[in-house]
Amino acid sequence: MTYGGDMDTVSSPYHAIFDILSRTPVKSVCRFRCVSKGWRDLISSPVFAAAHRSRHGPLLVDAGSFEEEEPVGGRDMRLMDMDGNVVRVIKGAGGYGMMCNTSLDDLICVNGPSCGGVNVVNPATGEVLVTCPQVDVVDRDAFPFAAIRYHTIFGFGHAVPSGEYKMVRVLDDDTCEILTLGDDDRCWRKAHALPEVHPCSRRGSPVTIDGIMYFLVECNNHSLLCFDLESEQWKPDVLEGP
Amino acid sequence: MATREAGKKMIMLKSPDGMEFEVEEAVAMESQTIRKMIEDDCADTAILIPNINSKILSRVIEYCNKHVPTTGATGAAASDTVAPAALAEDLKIWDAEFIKVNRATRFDLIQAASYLNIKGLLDLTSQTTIDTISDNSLEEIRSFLSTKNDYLPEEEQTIRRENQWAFQ
Repeated sequence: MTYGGDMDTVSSPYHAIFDILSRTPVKSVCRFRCVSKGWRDLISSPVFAAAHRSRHGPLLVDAGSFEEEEPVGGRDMRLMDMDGNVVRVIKGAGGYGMMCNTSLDDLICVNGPSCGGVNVVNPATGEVLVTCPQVDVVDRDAFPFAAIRYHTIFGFGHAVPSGEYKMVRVLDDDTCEILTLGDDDRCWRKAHALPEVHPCSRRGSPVTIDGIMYFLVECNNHSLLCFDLESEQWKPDVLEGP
Repeated sequence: MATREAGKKMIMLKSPDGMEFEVEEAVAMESQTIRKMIEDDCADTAILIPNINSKILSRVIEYCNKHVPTTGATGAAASDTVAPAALAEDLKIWDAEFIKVNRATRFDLIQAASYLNIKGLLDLTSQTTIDTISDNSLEEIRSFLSTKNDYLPEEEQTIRRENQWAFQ
């Protein structure tokens, strides 16, 4: 343990501080990062995060907050504890109608309905890692009848073995696009065309297991379409359920 | 005092400043650390408790004496005559009195409870400390827990900016 330094180690032992902080509410803990470097390192460690979570439970994500008086700027993400207390507000990370799509490792991915945007957020730092604009942004006030493309399905997962985080969206014209987290250009790339069958758009988000993203098949609630995030290829055959 | 009651095994606890405390084995086993020593047969007749001075050790024993099941501090089988709810209420009042100590002593008790692994005492001492510090300023916390601010001024500015939301 590196904790201790030139502090009075008799009156401030690591274990006692660890125990006290693991019982302290999350907001106070974040404030206490500023007490000293030793406290910051302790609070940032995965062991501490696990101990704190086991006492206080997971956090809930509310990305759809919308304040009338701030229709553009008030699109915040709120993290709440299990009692409903807001423990953190991350400015601009949410939006009207946005829902938590996936939480993967320590990242949260939220996306809006159909043509809405997408954000990937690190809740510990409040950093928005990726923010994607709507598909073909059109000023709908100026062009209320403009035909715009929208995505019907959205997924977030990581590829195996590279471990890259990838986002996949299927548009209403049945094209499929991919964005890799950490790419400098942050562009959606065209993926291979969908197979004959189509994924269903109304039944929640696809799920990724071991680098394969699974989509429910349209008009059929017991088959799965499989997309390999590493090779960015659709598997030719659907997985038949019982 | 050695054979206070027939059939009750006694254990000697020694503090590093040379004091010896004779306690019932059941009382000593409120500490999971001591329990493990006894169960693993690592304990002879006396157990040296490092890092915990006699003043704190005597308070810890006082706590264990009160909290050991079925036998209260009086030595009488309290649970036979008193309802469990009343007993719990009595313990709560006793705990509240017990924890009325200065912060140095309370911190020593946390340290002792943590080392000896006495969950009830750790809960009591830690929770009381959190209730005290949760809303305190950083300066108050540093002085309360004898922690030195080792941030450079510009480093402190940065970390405060990153965690600004938690100050609001």
